[in-house]
Amino acid sequence: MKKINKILTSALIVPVLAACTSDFEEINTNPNKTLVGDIKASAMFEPILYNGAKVWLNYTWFWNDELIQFTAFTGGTTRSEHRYSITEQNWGSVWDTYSRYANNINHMYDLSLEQKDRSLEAVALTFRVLFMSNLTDMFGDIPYAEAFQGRLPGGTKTPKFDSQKEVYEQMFADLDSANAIYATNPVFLKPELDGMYGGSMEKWRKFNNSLYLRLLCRVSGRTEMNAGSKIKSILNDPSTYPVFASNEDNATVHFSGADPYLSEFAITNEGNFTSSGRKLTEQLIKMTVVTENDVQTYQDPRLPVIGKKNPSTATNPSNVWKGTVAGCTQEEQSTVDRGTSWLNYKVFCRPDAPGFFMDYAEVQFILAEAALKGWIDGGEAKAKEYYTAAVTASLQKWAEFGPLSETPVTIAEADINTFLASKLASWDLATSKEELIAHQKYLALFWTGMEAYHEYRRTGYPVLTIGAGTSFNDFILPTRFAYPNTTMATNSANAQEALKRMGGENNMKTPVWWSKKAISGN
Amino acid sequence: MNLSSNLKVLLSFLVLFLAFIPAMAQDRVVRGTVFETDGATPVIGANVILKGTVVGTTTDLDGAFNLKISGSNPVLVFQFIGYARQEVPVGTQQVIKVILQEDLVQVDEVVVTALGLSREQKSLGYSVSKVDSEELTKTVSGNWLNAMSGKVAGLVFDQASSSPSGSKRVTLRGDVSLNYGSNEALFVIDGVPVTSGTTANSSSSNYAAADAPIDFGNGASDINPDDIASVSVLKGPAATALYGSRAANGAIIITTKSGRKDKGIGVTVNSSITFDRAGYFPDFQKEYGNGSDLGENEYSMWELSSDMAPDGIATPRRYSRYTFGEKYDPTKLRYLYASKNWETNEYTKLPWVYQDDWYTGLFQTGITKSNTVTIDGSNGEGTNTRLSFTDLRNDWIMPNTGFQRQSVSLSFHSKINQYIKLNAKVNYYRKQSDNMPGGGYDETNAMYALVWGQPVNSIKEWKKEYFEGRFNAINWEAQGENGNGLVFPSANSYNPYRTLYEELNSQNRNRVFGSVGLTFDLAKGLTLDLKSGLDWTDEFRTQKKPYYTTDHPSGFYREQNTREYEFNSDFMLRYENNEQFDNRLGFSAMIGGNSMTSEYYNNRISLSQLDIDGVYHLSNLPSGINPDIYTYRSKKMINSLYGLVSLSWNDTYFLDLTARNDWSSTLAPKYWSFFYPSAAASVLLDKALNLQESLSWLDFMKLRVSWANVGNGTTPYSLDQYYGTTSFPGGYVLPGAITDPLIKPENVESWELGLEGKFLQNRVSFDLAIYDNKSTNQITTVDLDQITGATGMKINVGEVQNRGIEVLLNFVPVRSKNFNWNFDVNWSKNRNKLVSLADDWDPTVPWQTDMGTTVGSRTFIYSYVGQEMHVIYGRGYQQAPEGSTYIDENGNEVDASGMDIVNASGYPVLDGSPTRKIGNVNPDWRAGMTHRFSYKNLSLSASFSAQYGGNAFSVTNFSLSYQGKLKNSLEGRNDGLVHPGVNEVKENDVVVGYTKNTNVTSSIQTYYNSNVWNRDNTMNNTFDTSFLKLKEVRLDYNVPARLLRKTGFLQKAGVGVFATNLFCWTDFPQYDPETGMLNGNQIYKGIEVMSFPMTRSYGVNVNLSF
Repeated sequence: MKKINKILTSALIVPVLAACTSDFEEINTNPNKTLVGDIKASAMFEPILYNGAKVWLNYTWFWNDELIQFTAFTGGTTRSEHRYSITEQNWGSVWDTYSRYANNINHMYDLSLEQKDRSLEAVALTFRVLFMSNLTDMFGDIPYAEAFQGRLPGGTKTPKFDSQKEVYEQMFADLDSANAIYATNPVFLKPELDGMYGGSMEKWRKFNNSLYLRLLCRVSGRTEMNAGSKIKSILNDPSTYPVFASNEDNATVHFSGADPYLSEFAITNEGNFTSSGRKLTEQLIKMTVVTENDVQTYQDPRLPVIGKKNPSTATNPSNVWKGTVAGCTQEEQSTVDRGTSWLNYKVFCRPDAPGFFMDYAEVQFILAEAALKGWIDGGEAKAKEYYTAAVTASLQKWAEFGPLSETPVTIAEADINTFLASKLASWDLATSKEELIAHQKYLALFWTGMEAYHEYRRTGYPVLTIGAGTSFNDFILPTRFAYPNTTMATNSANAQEALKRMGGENNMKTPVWWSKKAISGN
Repeated sequence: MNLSSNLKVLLSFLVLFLAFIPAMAQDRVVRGTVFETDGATPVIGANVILKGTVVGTTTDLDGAFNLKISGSNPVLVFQFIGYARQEVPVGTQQVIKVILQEDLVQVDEVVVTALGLSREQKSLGYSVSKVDSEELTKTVSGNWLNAMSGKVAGLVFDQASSSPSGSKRVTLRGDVSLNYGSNEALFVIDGVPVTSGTTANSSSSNYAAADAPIDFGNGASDINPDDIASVSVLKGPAATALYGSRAANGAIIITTKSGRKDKGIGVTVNSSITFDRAGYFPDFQKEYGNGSDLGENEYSMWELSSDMAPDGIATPRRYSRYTFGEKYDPTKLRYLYASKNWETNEYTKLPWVYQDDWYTGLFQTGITKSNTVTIDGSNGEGTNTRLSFTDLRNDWIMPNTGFQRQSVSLSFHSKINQYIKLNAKVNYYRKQSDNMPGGGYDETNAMYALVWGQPVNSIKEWKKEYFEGRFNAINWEAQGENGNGLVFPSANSYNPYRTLYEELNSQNRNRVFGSVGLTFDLAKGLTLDLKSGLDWTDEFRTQKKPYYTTDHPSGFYREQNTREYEFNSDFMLRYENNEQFDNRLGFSAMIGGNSMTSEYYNNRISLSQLDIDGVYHLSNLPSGINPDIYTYRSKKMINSLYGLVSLSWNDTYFLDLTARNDWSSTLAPKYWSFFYPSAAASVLLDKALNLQESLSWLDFMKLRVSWANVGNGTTPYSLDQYYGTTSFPGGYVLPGAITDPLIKPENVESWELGLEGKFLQNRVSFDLAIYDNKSTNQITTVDLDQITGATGMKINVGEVQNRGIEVLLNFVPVRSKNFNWNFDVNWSKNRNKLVSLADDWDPTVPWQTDMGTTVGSRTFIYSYVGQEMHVIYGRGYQQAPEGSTYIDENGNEVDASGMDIVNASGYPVLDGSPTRKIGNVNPDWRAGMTHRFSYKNLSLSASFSAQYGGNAFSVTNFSLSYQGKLKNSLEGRNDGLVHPGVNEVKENDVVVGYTKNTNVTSSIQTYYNSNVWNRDNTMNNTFDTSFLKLKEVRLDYNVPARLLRKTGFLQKAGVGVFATNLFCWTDFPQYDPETGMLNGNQIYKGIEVMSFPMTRSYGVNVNLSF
């Protein structure tokens, strides 16, 4: 029996032990996915371009329009962004989204270096600045130099926050680097992937430098940045710094409308998009409609493209443009909401509705401001020229979408001239040219990411009426978003240092460094 | 090792051992009869076993048996529940008469422990609770686990109350892991671990998600209660140490029924029918109708021009889903939805009254019919078999929902020869449903339409709208503007009948599990078991949504295939010798090994739009739209070696030592092998200290202590980083989390101390356990700031502690010949604490179990380091700080600390951000009590369950309340009220003092709508979940044996009636205080999300044996 036991024991245990782990590594090899590092840099491009554009569309609809009073969700009790009821999860989501895209772009950059793909290297730099600039503009100080190192072996998981000034300096350096690479005219290997510029390095270069102008303009209130002279040098050296020259150059992402190239609101219905909640505001109507003796006599030609009058004869018997009150109280809500106008869902809710990163008009507005403020030559006369070009470009851009409206809209050259001569946009009639530029830029930035919100904080224009229902942020239009819990939990010391530097607590009341409020104190 | 190599190993062993089997010994047959204490009444079903062997039989209807015996000095052991074990040396006797003596002191109870080892309960150093099949099988509901509820201390069920299957999350002794999904107990059937979870149809939350998860039922709920013989609940790691890593959270050990032991054939029929009635409805107010202007204007569903109106008076449309409208009055006549004659297009004004069925009318009486036929037989010589077939059909409380389940179970035991026994069990289950209802706070749940319905509309109007075909494109396009329908898609309102009849979620689940094993009696006391077990589940699901459904105006279709496969092979060599030192030393040792392979497949194809409405197949896509494809498969393997040594001395001192080593394919070579031991000791104090000499009333007293350490691997593919895929061809994104290739196994360490006693001839007994369970090195993904390049990092981190106490008491107040009454009470308390997280984690920042446990950024379930896990946070009323005062009308200074701050409009002010601690999710304690009475052939039992403390946020509550539909918004209509509280006195925006609030609410509607019951108000919508439920009452009658004998063919006949959930005392206002929400495939507690009504069930079952 003892013998049997021995045989038994060895017969049982030996094969089990031997077979124990022999194919474990094979078993634990993921059959579903590709290992990080095993792809071409270009495999990162489409998700960044298209999904990035969708984020822009979503944020402009969900955040920008509500914060800046293009729209207000006054339809129910579920959404209260227009009352600045914005929570940690909201900040967290915005922070994570911009960071996530920048992180993917950064990875595309690393892959492009490794694979010596010069064109994607430059595109990655431009893209990274586009996303990181929005991150810093929303939050203030952010990690830049030490960002995205955590994924690499030994890389920091508690990155130091750079001051916003340092962030901007690094972004300018990145844009300069990208511009230099574009100048060598590298080959974009798979131009069919590029739904924005078809791989044209020349256009990417213009976008890169126009973005440069945008960011210079943003920090122009900070004299130490010498933004004015840099703008001047860019303008004076178009061969080194080509910028947008027409709407043809716009950084517009075109969705084919065929899956997966579907725009953000491809299958959204009118209710969810606008009519059950999001209404145009009084502020927008005030800036786009001329009312004389209680009669609406003239409207911005773009208004019927982006908006739609309330079709209900019961609530809007005179068929007028009516805006709701952003930041209204719960009690006011049902009154102010009655008969209000909507977003034009036929224009925006389409599978092939494009996404806008930046337009030619914005460049012209920047130049108009630069001329008016004397950063560049030409003075007021030149400023008017830029202004006219800017407004014209904006109207021409929206003219393209007019036919899509339920009631088709055409914007002809004559309409543009009429508009430029109207009370709404006339240079000559305006008492403050600076305000006029800011107002028209604000309107031109409609549906372009968070730009109108950034510009409002930079210029203080348009002067907005803060609603009586905005108690969630003590009647202060958010100056920034707060750092999310995860940031505070996992990188506390660095985040606290940044907050101290910005001079405030982790809330939506501390102004960011480039903002009017931070510079002038109000 | 793959399947085939497993089999090869098994087969080669078989061949090996068959060669060693010696020739069979000489046999002879003994006959006999077993009687009760009176010496006259035969005992039916008593066990007769040849001592030292597994040869045995049971007595027949006349108490008779015959048994083939062998060996030199054969001794027969007679056992029957309630009677003392008796050993009878056979000697030369041919016929044996045995009279059993009633055993008033039962201490030799046998329970099934880890790896299917049967052990005497008295020898165990850890706690095991046993539930017998009787308790589980007689009351029929969709899920057998319902019958377990409240019966075992420390066993906790969480449910989302969102389906007839009623998936339950089963945990023992609290949440041990930071990975919420890794806290569930292991289910083991006949020694083979089985899958108990489910695959989600969607990863969404059940709050405001159009693609909400459907509760298709989980693996544990599949099991057919009719096949269960008994259930052992092994609570702590010491009890389950032999199962290793998988049972760190305890195990539910199910033993299924086997064939009879006595010779013959039996047929048993068990039939039942159960009726479910929805109940415990919200407390609706019946005074004010629909409207949102406090009755200022007349309600009208229709906009009528003067030529449309019968009285020629043009009427504007004024409707609202809120019920802050006109007071009901049958003399008031209004244009209601029912006013329109759809054939003539004429309108009639109707009385303004509350429609009783507007909400409750949707529910029907659910009917569950269950029929089981069992055939079992035995040749009386060790070969027996059992075949059962069960057919269960459920029509649920909502129209067009329910499921059916067929199960076939075959058990076969045979002695191949004197030394080899074969055991085989095979179960086949098929579950099929045409429609499992959608749940949660979203439009895919028919309840959503009810909650947002109009109390002035009878449910019949919805019904007519749907069945008369008026839910159509025209009404949809009208968007409620021109008054065509009840449908307001712009307000996300959908016809509940259409949801139930057209948004179908079907499932077809096939599952096979079972095992084949051989037992070799190699030598005296030496046994070898070889066993292979399989659990294979295939499920096919579809989800259909026609045009004009939420978020899918062009329809939706999904097919999902899942396959779960697990194969276990075991060997176990046991040696037992209880004969040393004059039989005083008991020794047994076991070594064993296990190889586990699990595979998992989940394929999901979804169409986000349909080309043709109502046609559901994967090619029905509009051009330009691609299907959304998700595929995942994984494989995992764990090999183990384990051993157990049990020692006992004098039947008084007991010691168990176990050791196990696992090799897990999920870890890196350096760490994939891990070892963990356990020890359990117990002493029978009554014997050791001779307590019975001085305390004659003491029957039994045991002290036990155990310690265990259990390791655990992780999920497959956790070591490397893989790209995420996108819908773009060849387009990739970085993964969210960073991995650590050198991750170490997890560890759970636990202590348990227990005391058991039985007194007064077993009339009183208790079992007390305290435990301390600590999990460390948990493999979990800790959050990282995305700016570092990842949102998380999978590392070893954190420590969670659970300490608790469990008490089980049993009393027998009456024990007599005809009347017996016994009851038991169990009570448990678990204290959970998150001791630490990652080293540099800021303790002021919460850990969120899962991003799903929130209600739209309003209410959160958070855990803070150093505190109990799972605590509800959200907004409440702002309150005056400590030390605040105000001056009352008499000029006295009154303490205002903690009083609500009320604004100038008379409304209390809510917190700016949802960071207030509102309440704990976990209750302070839980308890259960079961009474059993028997009088002659009648028996009556009643089970209660209770919990004290704990809180849950209720979505149903806020959604009904803030619309003014419940009685909780009646106070102050329409004149307003003065909210008790104080007003702030401010100077330059700084609060300088307080005054007593005398401001009348400027609008009572706003008060309730935006303040009191607003969904932002977590405080007011969170309720204590303490409850006392009468879970179950049942009355059984068993036809007496003498009557049965007259029939000539019936062996047993019984009939029982039962009812469940007869009452529930609770402050929790909406349905069931035992509530949770389903997110993905997890049930989260602490948030109720529009669950279905709690039901009361009534039923009858008949049991016949032939």
